[in-house]
Amino acid sequence: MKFRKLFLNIKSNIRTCQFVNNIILLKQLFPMQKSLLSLLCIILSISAYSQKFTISGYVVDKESDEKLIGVTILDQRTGLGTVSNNYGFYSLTVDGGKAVEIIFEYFDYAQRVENVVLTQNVKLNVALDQLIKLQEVVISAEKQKRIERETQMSVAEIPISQIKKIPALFGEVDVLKALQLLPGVKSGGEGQSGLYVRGGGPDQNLILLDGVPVYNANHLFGFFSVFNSDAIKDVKLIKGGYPARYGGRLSSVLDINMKEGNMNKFKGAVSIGLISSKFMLEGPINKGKTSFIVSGRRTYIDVLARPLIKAELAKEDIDGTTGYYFYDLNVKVNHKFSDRDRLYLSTYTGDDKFYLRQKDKATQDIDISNNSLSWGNFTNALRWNHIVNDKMFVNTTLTYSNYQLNTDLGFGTEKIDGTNDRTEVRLDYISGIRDIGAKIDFDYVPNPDHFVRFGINTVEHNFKPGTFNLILTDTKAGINQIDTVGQKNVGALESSVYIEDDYSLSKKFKINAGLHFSLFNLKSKDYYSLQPRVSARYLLPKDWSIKASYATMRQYINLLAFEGIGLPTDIWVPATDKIKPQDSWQAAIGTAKTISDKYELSIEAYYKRMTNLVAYKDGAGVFQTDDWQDRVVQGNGEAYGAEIFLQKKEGRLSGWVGYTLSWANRDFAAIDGGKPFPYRFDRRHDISIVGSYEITKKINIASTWVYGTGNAVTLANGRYNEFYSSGNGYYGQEIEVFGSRNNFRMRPYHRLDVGINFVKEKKNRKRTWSVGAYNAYANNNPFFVYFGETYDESTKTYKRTLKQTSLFPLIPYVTWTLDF
Amino acid sequence: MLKYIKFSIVCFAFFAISCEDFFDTTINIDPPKHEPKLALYGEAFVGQDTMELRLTQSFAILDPFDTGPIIGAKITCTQNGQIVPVIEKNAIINTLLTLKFNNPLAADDVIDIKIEYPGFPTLTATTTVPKSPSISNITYKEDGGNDEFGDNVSLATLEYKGNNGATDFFRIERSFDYIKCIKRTQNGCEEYDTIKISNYMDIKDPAAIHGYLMKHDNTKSKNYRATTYRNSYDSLTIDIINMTESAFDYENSRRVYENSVENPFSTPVNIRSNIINGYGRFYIYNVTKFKF
Repeated sequence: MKFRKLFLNIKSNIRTCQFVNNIILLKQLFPMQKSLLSLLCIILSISAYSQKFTISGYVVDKESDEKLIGVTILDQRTGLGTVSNNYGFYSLTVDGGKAVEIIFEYFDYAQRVENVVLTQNVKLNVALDQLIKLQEVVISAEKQKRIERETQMSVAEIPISQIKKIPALFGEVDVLKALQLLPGVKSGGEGQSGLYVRGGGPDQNLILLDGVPVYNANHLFGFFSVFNSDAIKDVKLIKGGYPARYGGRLSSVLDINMKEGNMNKFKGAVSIGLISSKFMLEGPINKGKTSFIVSGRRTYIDVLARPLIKAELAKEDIDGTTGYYFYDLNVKVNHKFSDRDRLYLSTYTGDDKFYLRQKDKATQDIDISNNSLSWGNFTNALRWNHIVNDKMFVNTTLTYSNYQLNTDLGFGTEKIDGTNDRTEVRLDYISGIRDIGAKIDFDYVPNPDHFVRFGINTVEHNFKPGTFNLILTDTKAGINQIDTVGQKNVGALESSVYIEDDYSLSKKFKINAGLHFSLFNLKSKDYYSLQPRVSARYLLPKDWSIKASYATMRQYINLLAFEGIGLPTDIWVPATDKIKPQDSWQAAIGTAKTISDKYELSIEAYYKRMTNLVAYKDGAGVFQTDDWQDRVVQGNGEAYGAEIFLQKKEGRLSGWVGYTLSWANRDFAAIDGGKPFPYRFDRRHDISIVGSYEITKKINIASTWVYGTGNAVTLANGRYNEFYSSGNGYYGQEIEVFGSRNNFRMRPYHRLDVGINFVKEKKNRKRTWSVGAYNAYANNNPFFVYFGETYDESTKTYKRTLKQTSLFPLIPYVTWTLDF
Repeated sequence: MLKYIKFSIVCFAFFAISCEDFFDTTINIDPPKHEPKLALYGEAFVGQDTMELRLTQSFAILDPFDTGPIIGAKITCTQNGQIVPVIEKNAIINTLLTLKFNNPLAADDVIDIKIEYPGFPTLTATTTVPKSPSISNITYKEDGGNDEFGDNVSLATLEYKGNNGATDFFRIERSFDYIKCIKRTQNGCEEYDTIKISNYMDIKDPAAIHGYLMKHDNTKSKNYRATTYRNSYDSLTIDIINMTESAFDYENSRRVYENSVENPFSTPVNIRSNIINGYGRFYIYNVTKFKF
């Protein structure tokens, strides 16, 4: 219609035309030339009318210059928009000629509107004000970032500010435990930080810290995650409908981005808790150009207890100590070379260590016992952000990740006859995985209808599936012998290329379609896989939308794990000639709606089929020296269910209610004759209610309540006497009968946590006291069950009983934090 | 006031987590359900014309455990379709039942058994008597050199010939008679008894399961080496013990069960056998002896 009007206008009035600097100049012409030039003018006029310009730049936090991820940028006239990428960069191409009103909107930040007259491409870096820092908050325009408009489904984002309000075990704010409160995500057990997403295992989560895979995300046998919330900027969990840029795991992607460091001024935080303390310091190295952030955390129970333990041991003439601690340290430096180029270097290192050192002087010679168990991650990422042009952004990353477990058991004797002769037997066990990788990711935004991402990624894995070293030392005899048994290190190269497009087919219909191709090279075998991914949403009236997704995934690495507890002994191993890679496909359908601009509602149903899953065969387990490939079997799994999620992110009352109804089964030909059995974390019902309420500016309260069907475990249900002949007689032996795998349901899990934060703000600092209780009504939640004996008063005998051990009855916590 | 509340919470929190017994609450819970079934033990060898049976039952895991016999069960057994008489020998001490076969057990015999007892599902089992192997060039050395751990071992070598094209399942044992003193006085031993000692030999083949259970492809011949701890006796035999695939599976799962009982980190194991609707085993072995 518009073109027709324009055409008529031109036809009746134009004499001649010139197109100079986007302006049409009109002149009179001879009739012969009229028709041809009219056509040309039409083309040029249409071209001028639809002349598009690109607005691009970074969106940052006003105070710290920190890049903001996922900011909605919208052309108010047309309703077309985009979002900032993982590095805060955005590119929006819109019709030029007139002044346009661009809206920038981000959770927890004041909406900002920029009026831009578009006569050429514009660089527009925008700084947003955090709401909490504004004295008065006025949200004038309608909320633009709405759940129903997102193409991506099965995604969960919890703002770090909200995570910090959630009551936590020992007051240790934990990102992974906060994610466990979301529908479709389950914990391994009481206090555990492992994630079990939509019937998948803990090894099926791709955990990325600044783009680097983290292989063991647990401290203290899984009770805490390795992520220090003070250093984290953004957390995103994708449970299904995976965009093509991600690959390598079957069940979820957890993308965690560290803060970059304040470019403008020094800031910090110190926090003292019951079991650990932490600090964070950030600031400019070269104002506006270079910044840093460093944060660290360490537990100190061992330090506090050391004098007491030493004193106790000294009473028995033993010189020694024992203890456990963990620490982690995050460091990040970023430098802005220009508006187009930025460099980031981020490092994480963290270790857990349990030690027991003793010298027993009570014996004739000195008996030495020196034992330790330590494990830790070390990750490094060097990233270079480069804006190629207004529409294209490229990120190049070099990564290094290393996880290693060391078990060191040593016993020996030291002579006290003055010779200092020493005999010692040491048994070391080492396992782990080391990755070196490189990747290039391109973001290309040709126009608001397309957001194209493509890239290439390659990782060289070095698996250490477990080696035992037996070291014999006898200084007198001059013996220092080392025997090594166990698995050889295995190298593999994993590479992938991908392309995806977030494509608006119409105002209502939008899809994200892509392809992910991966390749896994072993010395003797190559595997490859082409994985299609598609997500779509269609807007319905009254702010409803319908969404659907389909994704196939392949995983080339497996975790041989003792189910339920994040033990450091879990071993990462690759797909091999014998062990095929794991595959899955997942389809989901759902609906979403923003209610009254305050509440987000999403309802999803999913079905996931997994093949070539790995499980220990009957009787197999960890701490065995035989080939791990002979200890496992492969089979299939399926998971299906529905999730409801109602969230309120803003206002004095915030939080969410989540409910999951789900089934997760496994079938392995070598287990129970191929009969399907429930997955250990098959949880029929899972409910979580999370809420925080700001009573005054100085006091806010928070509470969570969770309920989950009990885990399925394998327990003996009967026993019989089996006879056998030996020598000249017959003997009997009691044999236990287990029925099928995971035949027993532990009791349901439910827990209420409550917390209250007292905040006192002065000019340049903020002090927070957080007090609360984990498991406030002291429910005996199952941690594990076992057969034991109970004394029966009536018969004065011990009776065999089934016992359930619960770890945390009611755990109060208190944490003092100072932000400056 | 708020300060006192906070101080109290801090003190309580520190007190609570410093108490050793604060964590780790243990309570008794109900066990999983179990349907009791009959448990049968029966084992015999080729050439025998009888088979001793023991019949008991399973119990729920926390119920009192009784190894006593099941008395009065209805037992129906056939040898190649012919009914086999059952003799109940001693029903007081133990249910010692004896199957009196119509003919001595021979290769390819099919033995079926059905046991009915009120309140229990009917137990059934079938076993086929395995064939004899074709063995040649068998040798035995008391000093067979050292094994991979440096221990001095005795060594048996043999050639297992291709036979009928099927798969054979076997293990190798070394057996000897051991004279044991059963009555010792100041004057020394006055009474002796001879007991048979058998021990499994380690088959030096990568395919050997648990080091001693072997599956032999009977389409071809193959040489095997088997070792065991070094011992010296005047007379001993090397026994090649052939079994059915089901018996092989039973022995494999039985061994895995034993290992899992000792390893708290291992997955639980159900012993597999040819018993349907019950527990235990019902097998006939074919033993080929070579005397040295």
